[in-house]
Amino acid sequence: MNFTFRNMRIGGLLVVVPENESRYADEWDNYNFPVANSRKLQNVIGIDRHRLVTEGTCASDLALFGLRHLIDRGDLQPDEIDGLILVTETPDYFMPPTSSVIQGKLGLSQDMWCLDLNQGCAGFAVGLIQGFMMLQQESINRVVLVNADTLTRTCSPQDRNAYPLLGDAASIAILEPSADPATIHANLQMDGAQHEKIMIPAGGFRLPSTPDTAQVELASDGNYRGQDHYHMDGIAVLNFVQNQIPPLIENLLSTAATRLDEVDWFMFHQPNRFMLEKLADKLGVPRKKLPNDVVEHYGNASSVTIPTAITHTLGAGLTENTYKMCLCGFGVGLTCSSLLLQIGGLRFCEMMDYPSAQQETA
Amino acid sequence: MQSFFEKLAELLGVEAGEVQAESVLDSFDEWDSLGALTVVSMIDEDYGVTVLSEELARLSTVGELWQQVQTGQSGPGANGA
Repeated sequence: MNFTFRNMRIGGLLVVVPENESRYADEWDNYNFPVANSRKLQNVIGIDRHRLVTEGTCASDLALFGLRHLIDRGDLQPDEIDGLILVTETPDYFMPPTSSVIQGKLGLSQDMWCLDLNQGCAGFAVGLIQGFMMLQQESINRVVLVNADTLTRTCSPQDRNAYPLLGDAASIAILEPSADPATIHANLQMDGAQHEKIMIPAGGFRLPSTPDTAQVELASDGNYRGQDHYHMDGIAVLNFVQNQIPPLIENLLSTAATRLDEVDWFMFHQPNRFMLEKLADKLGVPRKKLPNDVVEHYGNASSVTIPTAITHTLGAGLTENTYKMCLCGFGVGLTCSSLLLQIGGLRFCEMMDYPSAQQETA
Repeated sequence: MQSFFEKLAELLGVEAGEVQAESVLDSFDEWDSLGALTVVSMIDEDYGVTVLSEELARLSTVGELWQQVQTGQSGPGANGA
């Protein structure tokens, strides 16, 4: 499914990562594999260190920390926010929406639209599409797109298939009208038939969490996890990327009548360096135009990886320069989505640490 | 077939002679979900065949994996290599 938008832009980008860092080399003893094997994977897959929240920190805590920072600094006016989208798989509660929790804690106007989106690794692209659709309404002039997840809290620390790759983070993107008439192109594909490929089986109403589902067991892939834990079929995700992403990008660029070499940056979701190198090769994109080192620096924080790739790679340079970027997210659903747009001249583009001592109260 | 076995041996971190048609995939230390990722990726890159997660789960030996690659190369939608 294709989308187009005009006269809209990203006005600023902030990424919040927990200051608490864990090194893969310090986790080898947790895994049910020979250390030599774990060590080899470090270089092949691209794993080194990741940022994790400390106990009790929620996605909304990371988000509020960043939003308050922007408001205090005058980069975001609270009374100008007409829409607040929170993309998360790790909400504070089943109900109410966590976007409402954030709205309340910031004391924002009641004359606004708060919306939670349950999306994972495609969630920055899907959130942008949703935010741009909101901006098409005359009553909506500024949308704050928040992506926030604490996936490490859902994952078994004895699961080498996932734990060393994951991280926690939040990002805040300001979406606003623009005088630039250039068209933004977007597309998305959803394959719910594969919804079990990345999932947390227990804890919802289909399979409520019990002492049994919390029990950690040896899985067929040699890892220890329970049904309460995050589970990813890594090969199925690789298959999805191999088969779905090249045609998705081809469709996006042909719809936009844009050649591959006219794109300055390919800012993609970050599962790991290995998969992104192979994907760049398959697309025919020079590897240096498709950054791939987010996982080894911060971990894969679900929908926050694209903002992290942008701020980590370009940082404050994006306050002056403007680039044609192709964004692409893929994951839970299974969902994949891509956008082609100009990003630059931002009011802010930076990353900040969330102190471990910081803690919100309910 | 010989070059396929050699590529597998390299990815699995064993001597070339240790990978035979009858070798059981699970017997290799490095045949875990991340190790399999590198093998499935190599097959896609070098042979133009996608070995699906469900297919992989049904295979037990190196010979069966090679069979799967050959089937994929001759089957519908095969893009050669």
